[in-house]
Amino acid sequence: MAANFWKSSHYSQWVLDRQEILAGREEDLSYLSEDEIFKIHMFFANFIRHLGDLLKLRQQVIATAIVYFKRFYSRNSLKSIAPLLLAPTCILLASKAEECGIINTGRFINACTNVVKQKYSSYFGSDYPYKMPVILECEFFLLELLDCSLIVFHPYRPLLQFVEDFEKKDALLPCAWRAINDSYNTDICLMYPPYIIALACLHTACIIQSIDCTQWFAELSVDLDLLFEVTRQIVALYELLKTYEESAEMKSLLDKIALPKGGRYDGKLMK
Amino acid sequence: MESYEKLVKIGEGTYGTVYKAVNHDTGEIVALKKVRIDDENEGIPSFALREICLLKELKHKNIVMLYDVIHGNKELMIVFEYCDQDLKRYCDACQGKIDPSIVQSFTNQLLQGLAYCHSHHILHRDITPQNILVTGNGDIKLADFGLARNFGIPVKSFSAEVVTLWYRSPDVLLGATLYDTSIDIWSTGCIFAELSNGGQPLLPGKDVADQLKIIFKIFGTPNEQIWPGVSQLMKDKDYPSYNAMSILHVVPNLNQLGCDLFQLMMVLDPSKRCTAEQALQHAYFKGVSEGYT
Ligand SMILES: Nc1ncnc2c1ncn2[C@@H]1O[C@H](COP(=O)(O)OP(=O)(O)OP(=O)(O)O)[C@@H](O)[C@H]1O
Repeated sequence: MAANFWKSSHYSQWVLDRQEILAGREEDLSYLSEDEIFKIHMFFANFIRHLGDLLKLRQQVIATAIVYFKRFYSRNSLKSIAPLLLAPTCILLASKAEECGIINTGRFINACTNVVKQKYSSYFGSDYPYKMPVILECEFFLLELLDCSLIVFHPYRPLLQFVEDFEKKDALLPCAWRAINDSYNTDICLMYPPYIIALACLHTACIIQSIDCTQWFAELSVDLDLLFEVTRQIVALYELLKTYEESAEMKSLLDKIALPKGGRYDGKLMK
Repeated sequence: MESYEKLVKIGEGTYGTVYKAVNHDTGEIVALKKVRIDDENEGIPSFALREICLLKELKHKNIVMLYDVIHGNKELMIVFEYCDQDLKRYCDACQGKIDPSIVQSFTNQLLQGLAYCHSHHILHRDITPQNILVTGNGDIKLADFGLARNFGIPVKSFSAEVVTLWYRSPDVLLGATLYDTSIDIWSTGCIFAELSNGGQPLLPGKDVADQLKIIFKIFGTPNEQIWPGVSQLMKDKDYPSYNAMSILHVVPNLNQLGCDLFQLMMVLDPSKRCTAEQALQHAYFKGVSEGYT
């Protein structure tokens, strides 16, 4: 649907500005800083990646699942549904929407358990705590909150087109592609049209590889300020990752968003 | 949450039952499609999910509107705009005679809905009279996107079992697994002829072999000259060699322009079949009216 981003629900309903996102996170901001929220999101984006890899899903399905996750928590508190429950639910819904065949339930729950065991046992113990019926109930809340907007546009395809113009495309493409993958650690996918993100990732790749691209970008008929804003965010992400030690901080962050004992995971949504 | 009251059952599909219902909050009449969630472990069935997410993107006067999705106990309710009947029932009620201006208007609207889907890179894949709805004003709405596909990402093997037999294109019948928007055009051409013939299905085959035979009898058995690559598709079986029939016998009630358009839509070689956009530009539609005006 590349040609019709401008008519899509992604464009009409889900390109959010910073104020909207902050407003949606008001409750979380009362006990977390913006920076902490960002770190929690990155943690779970990685969780989704690991789960998607284990299920052998395409990059695009994983990206879609991360976008669902971010859209959900742009309108709901991290305490409304535990992210550990929502993250796999996003994978499930994305796999259906992206037509990659039905994932067998047993395999799905096994994958959740294995991801927790292999990579996250220091945070969550050795078992995935949610059962299938709960995930399926959650699937519906997610569909509802997304207002059925399940088709998500990604920067990968625009990137493939743009990169064609470059002589050093073989070096640029993997680097820009990785930048797109990394951009899903941030709110960029909530805030900008995919073609802008694609250009910013290409721009980032040019900077990393010291390729002169000033002329090419100057000739584009796009809002360069917007584009450079996105580039700055990606570069800032790379700066942060150089020194960031997730394991040192995450445990206490997860405690902060833990649901009160006996609280219903969906209490807020059932209203 | 809005409360809907079912009034009468209006249809039974493969994966659910459709009811006429009223929204008590607004008084609006809607169509409710109740999808059973049989397998408690699967959650929302993927075909229902496909229909929901595609219809969410497709907003067009010739495509049925999705209003809402409601979760019930072991079922999912999809709420659509209500249309009076499907095209099959409409044709049945016409008793063998449909006004040429209606044939023209319905075909035109159908193509508009289809052109819109195709411009969004979506194949309907199941265009049949049961899946085309007619409102009281004579508006045509495409429905049932449960089989529809996004062809943005090249998919190597679509399942071959698409489109109800009578409306299935020869390439799909011959086992082609790579297909595109042309399959929807073939189905639409069949319906164009059916309307012009007063609701008489054009190609009512009994099975795949019979379906191909009927097609070849009318349009001629294809060969490498008119359809490069077809011998590969036909290599497993012998097909009798027919010459194409005169089109005047096939769609006797269409005027000359109508016959010309019909032939452009029913080209055997899918790569030479016209597109929905091209069909809409055809002179046959000059002065077409929308609905019953
Ligand atoms: N919006 C609507 N307004 C009026 N009638 C409708 C509407 N939607 C569906 N129907 C009726 O219900 C029937 C079944 O609907 P639909 O084709 O969407 O279901 P389905 O389960 O997908 O069926 P199948 O895939 O077997 O064609 C239609 O043929 C039509 O007669």
